[in-house]
Formats: sequence, C-alpha cells, structure tokens
Amino acid sequence: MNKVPTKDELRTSLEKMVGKMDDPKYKSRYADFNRTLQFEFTDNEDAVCHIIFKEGSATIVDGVAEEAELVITTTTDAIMEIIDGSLSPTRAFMGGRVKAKGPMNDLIKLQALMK
Amino acid sequence: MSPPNVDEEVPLRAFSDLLRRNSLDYGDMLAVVYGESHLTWSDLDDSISVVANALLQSHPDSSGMRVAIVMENRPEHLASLYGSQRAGMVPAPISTRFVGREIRHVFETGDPGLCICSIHHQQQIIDAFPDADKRPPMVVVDGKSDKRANIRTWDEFINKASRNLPEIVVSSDELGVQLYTGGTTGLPKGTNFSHRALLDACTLIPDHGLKLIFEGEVPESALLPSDHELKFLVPTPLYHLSGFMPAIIMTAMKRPVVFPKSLQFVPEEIVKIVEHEKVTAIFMVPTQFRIFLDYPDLDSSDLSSVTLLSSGGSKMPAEMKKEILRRFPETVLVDGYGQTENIGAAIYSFLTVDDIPKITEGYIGKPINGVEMRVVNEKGEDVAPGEVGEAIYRSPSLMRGYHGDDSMTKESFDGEWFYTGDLFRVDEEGNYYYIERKSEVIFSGGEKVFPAEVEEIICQHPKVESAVIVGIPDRVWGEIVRAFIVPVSGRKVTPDEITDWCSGKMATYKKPREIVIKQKLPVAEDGKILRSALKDLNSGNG
Repeated sequence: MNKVPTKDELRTSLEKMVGKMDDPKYKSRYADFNRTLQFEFTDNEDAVCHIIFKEGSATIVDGVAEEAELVITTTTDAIMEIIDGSLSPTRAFMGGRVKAKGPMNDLIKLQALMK
Repeated sequence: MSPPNVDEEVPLRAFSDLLRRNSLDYGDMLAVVYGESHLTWSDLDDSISVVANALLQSHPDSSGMRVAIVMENRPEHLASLYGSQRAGMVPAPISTRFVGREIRHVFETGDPGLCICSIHHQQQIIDAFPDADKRPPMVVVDGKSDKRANIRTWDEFINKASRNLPEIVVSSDELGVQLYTGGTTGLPKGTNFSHRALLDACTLIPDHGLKLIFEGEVPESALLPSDHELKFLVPTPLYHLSGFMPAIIMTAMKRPVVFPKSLQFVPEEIVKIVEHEKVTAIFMVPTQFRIFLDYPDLDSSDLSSVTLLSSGGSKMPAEMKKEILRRFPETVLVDGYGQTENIGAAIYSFLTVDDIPKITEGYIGKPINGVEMRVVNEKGEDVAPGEVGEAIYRSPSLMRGYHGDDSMTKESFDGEWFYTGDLFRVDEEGNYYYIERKSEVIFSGGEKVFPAEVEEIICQHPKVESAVIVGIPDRVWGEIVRAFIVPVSGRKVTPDEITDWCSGKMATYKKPREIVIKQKLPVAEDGKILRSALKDLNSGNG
C-alpha cells in the first residue's frame, strides 16, 4: 500500500495545479470564477485547506473556509494522482474518489483545471 | 456547509454501480425528467434495485441471461437496463421499430430469457411470435396480465421485490450490454460490451471535452453553461447509440437527462421542454435536426438556455452544420464519428459559428484521447496524408465481438485493431474526413468512384435537394454509376440537366450513366439512406 503523501507533498501538488492559472490562456478562463473551494482529505485531516479563486488568481490557504461554495471530499493520493495525470478526473468523479458538494458546473470547471 | 456522506465503498465493477454511487453522493439531485415526473438519483437507484430483485426472483441463478427491452425512452427503460446489470444479467435494448422477421431474428439469435416492453410495443412481439411458447415471457409496462400468454404487468413484476441492493458481485469483465447495430444492410447484429468498456467510454468522452475546454479549443459554455446546470434532452432512442451514449455519459457526469413523452419526434414538444426545463443540451440525429430547423415557430421560441447541440447516427451535411451555427450562434455543435462497436468514442468535433469557413463535406475532426486511430491501405499500412484508406482503431471502449458470429468478429479485428469498414482521409494536421462506407465504393472499368464526391457535385445544382449514387452491376464495366436525385421542393429537374451539370466537373467514368428522379429516398430510422434498397429499385422515374 502506498504511503499517504505528506502535507508538504500535497501542497506542492496543489501549487502546481493553481500554477497553471498563470498561463494567460487559462487566466482568462477563470477571470470571472470567484469562488472558494474547500478541500477535505479523508486520509489526512490535517491537510485540510481551501483555495480562493478571485479574478483569475488562486490562493491556497490552510484550514476551513466556512463560506466555501464548493466542498470537495477526496484523499490526498487521489488528488495527487489527478494532478500528475495518472488518474482521470472524470473517472475519479465517476467512482466517488472525488466527491463534491456545491454547484456541479463549478466542479466540472475544476476538473478541467486538474487535468 | 457539510461534505457529502461517505458511508459506503462502491468499487465500479458493473456499470450499474455508478448509479449506486450517484445515489449515495448526490441522492437528492435530479437524474431523469419524463413529462411531469422528476426522479432523483436515489429514486432511480431504488427502482434499479427493485428490478434487479424482481429479475432474481423470477430467474434465479441466471447470470448472463439476456433481458430484451423493447420500450420508448422512459424511467422504466433505465430501470430495466441498469436493473438487469445489477442482477448480473445482460440488458439488450431492441429497436421499437422492429417487426416480424427482425424481432424473430433478434430473439432467436439473442435468446433472451425475458422481454420487458411497454404497452405500445407489446403487439409487435406478439405478432412476431403468435405462439407464446416460442417467445420469452413478457413484462409489459402499462399493460394487462395474461397468464396463458405468459404476460405479466410491470406492477406485478416489481410488486414483491425489495429495494435493497442485491448481494450479487458482478465483474467488470462480464457483459454489461448487448446493443444492436441498426445497419443499412442485412439483419441487425448484436454487439457485446463488457461493463469495463462502458465505464471506459464514459471516461474517454467527457475527459476529451474537458481537455478541449481547458486548451481553449472549445468554449466553456458547451459543457458549463453559466446560467443553468447541464441538462441533456434525449429524444433519440435508448436502444440506439444516439440515445444510449448520451444517457450513460450523463450518468457518469451525474447530470440529468430529459425524455420527451411523445412516441414520435415532435418539434413543438422539444421546444416546450427546453423552455420549461431550461434544457442546456440536445442530441438529435440529422433527420430530427432537419424537422427541428423547419419548425415554423422555432425562431420565436426561447431556446436561450441551450448551449450545446449534438448530432450523430448518420452523416450531417456540411450545409446543415452551417445552418445550425448561423441560426444558433451562441451554441456549440458537437458532431463526430463513432460506431455502435465502440460506443461512439472515436472522433468528435466541437464547432462554433467561427468554424463555419472550415466546415467542408466530410470534415469530422481529430480522434479523442485514448483512442488510437489510423487510416490504412489494403495491406494494413498507413496511407500518406490526403490519401483515402480504411479507418482502423483500438480503444478501451471497443466491443467484445458480434453476438453469436465468431467469423464476423474475426474478420473485423486484426489483433486489437478494429476495422471500421469506413473510408477516410487525414490531412497534414491530423483532421479526419469521412469519405464513405468501403462497401459503397463503386468499381467501374477498373476505376474507383467514391459516391460522396459525385453526390456533392450534383447537390450543388440549384434544383437538387439531395443525390445518392449507387453502383449497378454491369456486364462490361463491372459496375456502372446510377444517380437517384430528389429535386428541391416545387422544382423539376431532368436527367439531361444533371448530365450537363456533371460534364467538365468530373472524370467521365464518375458521371452517372443512369439518372433516376425521385420525390423521396428510403431512409433507415437513424436517417441513413438505405442504399441497399436503392440498389434493388428499378430505374423507372417516379
């Protein structure tokens, strides 16, 4: 069985994901996407964090954001596999390895960012 | 805001496990709309377990048994489809338009242990098998029971069945569905798919759409309408890929499908449903698109919620694509190439109004990620860009084979590569252009004539609505070219005018030797021209 990724490894991976938004092509796609996304990790509760999307930029913040519009429940290894490309986000969503609460279109939009 | 309940591990083995997953994670969200009925994923999942338990009661120890489904699109169809899977049986949706010989062929070769149909289609089956002992027992939605004829009503069938998840473990390698290819020649062929292939098709297609959106190739509004949540109207039948594919993909994306209630395609109903339900996507075959576009009140209807129009089933003429994009400039038109044999997962093009200049006859686009596609010559070698060859592909969503026809399965595969029987050319950028069915190419005096090329030229004649070219056996030439022409409504066109039109526009051997003017051409239910029927027609004009 694989070792559960550390909080730092996870953070590096999430930074890589939001780093894609520095590309002007993607920045414009998320220009109007002003949302807070909460990540909950069932295998590492300490890793809980949220991402604040605002006017084309994204900031990763530790802890819980009560005002989050979208809550994603997953595991640290699933999210890292998605970001490194070894797990299809569609498949993870289909099979419940990534679960979402909130507007479904926002989740699909995030799937696109995870790819 | 609390996260969803995570109380049950559901590995995706059977396709129906997805429905369980949806019910656990998104139970109170909308799954199906049918008239006034609005079912949630929980409602649908319960009905699936009820059908599975009813099947296991009536047919215990029948793993792998075929369950024929002959029904219009309605919640009971989905319950029967996924319920059979959950019981470890193989659903076989069958065309509601089949009669007599076709039904007998499908039942005799598929050997279903039970047939679930609706009252609208019960008589077709009884007529095909007047002797009740020669056909499987029937369950009829909205029907009446008849013990002597071995017919039960749907209510009797599910009456004593529990809604608990049956304790059956289905492997993803077992068969998950048997679909029939409509085919334009011969009798329908059953294609067998594993659960894994269905799950893979549902991964490949949305992943491809997401990739294109992310790369900026496709406007986000296609899949992510900003004002409304994705909701797919499916007037295409579930027994056909054009209805089956959108339905299973929406299940994977956990988004609802909407079924019209009319048994026929009624554009007024489509428009009303869009307005009432705020539908964001519609799938139609080209024939339905034509009826829809010709609906007189279309332009005054509120279709502003629609951001995606999708087509398949048969080739959509380039002119129709342009017309759709001109009339619905805010929408994305998804067209593609796929076959029942791979759940339609091959090539998709996402077109917007800006793409109108690049739309030419036969243009399809690029194969989706995860599907390897090539165009080869008769030795199986890749052809150069621009050259015509047969498309072959390998893909995780490919069928296991043709039911009960090992020799045809063997003929269609070379290892993992499936030979499509369709001719394509590929340009330098990797875009695929459909030419035609390999079997439709005409060999005349040692030369090849591609009907689509000749048809396109003839269709440019201002008085011609449509043209179909077929090869007719000839003692000297092997085959000669015969053209069937349908004039534009209210206009007359003569064979001589067509001959004159073709002169100088094509090589002599391509020019039709015989020209038949018809008011209408025979079409299959998915809109494909029945070329085989035309070949058998006498050449008398009329």
